[in-house]
Amino acid sequence: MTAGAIQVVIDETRCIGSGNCLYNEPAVFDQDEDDGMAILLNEHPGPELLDTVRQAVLTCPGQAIRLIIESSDDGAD
Amino acid sequence: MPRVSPFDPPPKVLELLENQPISRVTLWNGQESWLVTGYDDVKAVLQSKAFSSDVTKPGYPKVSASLATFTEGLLNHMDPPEHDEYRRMLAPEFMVKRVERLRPEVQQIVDELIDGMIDHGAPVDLVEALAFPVPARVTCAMLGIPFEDQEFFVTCAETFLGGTASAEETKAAAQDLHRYLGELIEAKVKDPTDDVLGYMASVHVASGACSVAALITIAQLILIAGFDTTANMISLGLLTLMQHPEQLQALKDDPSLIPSAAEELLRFLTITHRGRHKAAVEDITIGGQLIRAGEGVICAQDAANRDPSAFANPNDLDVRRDARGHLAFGHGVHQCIGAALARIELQVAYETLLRRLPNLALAVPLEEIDFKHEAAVYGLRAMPVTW
Repeated sequence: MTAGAIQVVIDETRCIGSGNCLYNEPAVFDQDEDDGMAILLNEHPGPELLDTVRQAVLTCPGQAIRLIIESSDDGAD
Repeated sequence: MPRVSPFDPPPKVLELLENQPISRVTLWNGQESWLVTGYDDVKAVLQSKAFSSDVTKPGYPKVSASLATFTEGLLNHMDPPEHDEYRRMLAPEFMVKRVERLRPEVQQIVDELIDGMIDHGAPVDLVEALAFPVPARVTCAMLGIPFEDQEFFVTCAETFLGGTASAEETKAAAQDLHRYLGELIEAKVKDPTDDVLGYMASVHVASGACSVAALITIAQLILIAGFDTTANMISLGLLTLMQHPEQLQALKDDPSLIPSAAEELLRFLTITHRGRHKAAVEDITIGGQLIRAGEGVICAQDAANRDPSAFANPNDLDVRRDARGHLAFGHGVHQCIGAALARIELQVAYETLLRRLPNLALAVPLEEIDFKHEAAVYGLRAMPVTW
């Protein structure tokens, strides 16, 4: 299976607003100015950002980020 | 478990990491606990809901007589969902971009303190002249504590975290701080200010979401957590760089390495050397080991940050490595809320000192440096320097 589109999903109920994701990949993540909670700047980042997005997932203190790597031929999303 | 090298975790802990990453240990009071040293296992414990941070839970490891005595309402000893409600109230004030706006103020504070060192002339104790005043002033400014009250807080922080105060002294310091903060918060409810306590008082105390008592406890935690940790990382981090001249030179030649150097020093030194403590509230298997409800766990992040499965050549200091996965700020919902601020303070302090005082060096032999082996947060008591 070859790697296809990358999808990032944030579970807002688990986010504690640490900003850890933004620190790891500011091109994909940001924090809401009002409440500090994580927001997605890019739901489908390119493969060149995969490593830093994965780091954001692994280090998220609330385990609030999911990374879905779709196979290129399954047609999802 | 004593250290041999002042810059490395105790050999016994590293030996456990290698041979028995989850082991049984006996504490000072005879209590038994699990000691977890592996990177993946420490992360698994810190993010699992099977573990509580509440010191009153059966099995919670009491690592010293004075610590973990007055913890009621402290966020770091509170479990979700209550913890997360407060954490979310505070989040906007600690968000990366908001804290980043403080960078010019941090720079100004560091520059003023270095001016003071230069005016005084070498030798100077870097701990007293810069390492402690930087986080003291920054934390006070961020919280909205008047500058003139700073010394009072420094004394309280020392009493709490020095590791030498009696339970009575710790209690007295807590009461003094409590009284002062209560008055300050009441004033800020009536007359809001643009700082953390002003925001919390005018928004969340005013709405009833957060009581004055709860905010007092939050402020105490932020003060104490914000002072000693950053101060020790500034001084011990510089001393560590001095022991690695080629790394130090690399930073002077290329200041763009400063952020990664700060991360690497956080990993390498992991000054919260007493670890994170938890009590299992349900049976859970960690790293193949069954941990039963009612048993205590100590997570040794200093060992985990030297785990070769997470960091190649973990016992080498390498300012060029990507150390961002380190656990020096903890992990899980209790991860340090002030991490972004600490990063700015460390980056500005390291960069400015190396730029303005490029010949900074110890004024005494390394053997004369007094390391805080017994303190809750590891570091140096004094660091006489010349330049």
